[in-house]
Amino acid sequence: MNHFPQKVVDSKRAFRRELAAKPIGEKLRILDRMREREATIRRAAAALKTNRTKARE
Amino acid sequence: MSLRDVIVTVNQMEADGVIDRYAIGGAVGATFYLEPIATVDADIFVAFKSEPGKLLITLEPILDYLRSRGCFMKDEYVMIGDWPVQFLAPTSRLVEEALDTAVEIDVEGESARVFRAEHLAAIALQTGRAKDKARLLQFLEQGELDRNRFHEILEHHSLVDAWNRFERQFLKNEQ
Repeated sequence: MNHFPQKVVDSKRAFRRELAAKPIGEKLRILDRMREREATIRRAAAALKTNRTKARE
Repeated sequence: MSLRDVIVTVNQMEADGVIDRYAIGGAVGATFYLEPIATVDADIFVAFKSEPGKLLITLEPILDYLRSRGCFMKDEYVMIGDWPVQFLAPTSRLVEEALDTAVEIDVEGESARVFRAEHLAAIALQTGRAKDKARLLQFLEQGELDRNRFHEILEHHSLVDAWNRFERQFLKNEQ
């Protein structure tokens, strides 16, 4: 059974089409920003893990 | 340094004769056709120059070239500016064909060679991880594939059974 409202599915699909239709230069700049964000999250997660390990010791 | 700068660097490597031919694959390649797809690295497939008298292909000329331009190795990647880049040799006939038939796409005045959408989709089917299947669904949903060309590739590379399984698993309710 699918409880996900069709309106939400359609709206997501439309947004993805909108993103896909952007000029390639713009899409690559979005990838640049996504990679930076991902790197920040990974560093924060690694620091959190280190702190937790230290707290346990 | 941005992805466009990575493309500029790789084009220069090709112009300087360090690599024979390259094409962008993976998530960055797919982004040329779909919405931006989050990724931690850029996959560049290259036809390696074979050195006379040597049977094994080596990354060393690429690494030497890039090191002399301030790039450095980090784990299995070459860092070109901020981007971890993997230089990959084609590991199957499908990827060789994708490299041979890759297309040139203009990125704000810089030409980038990219796998065709149909090859990216076929490679995703062949690789078959969850994220590859999701990518294949995106190609289908966004109508980015020339269906005839895609099916020719599937037949040529013995992927018809894998495609039938994929269709049964993911597309049976869409038709």
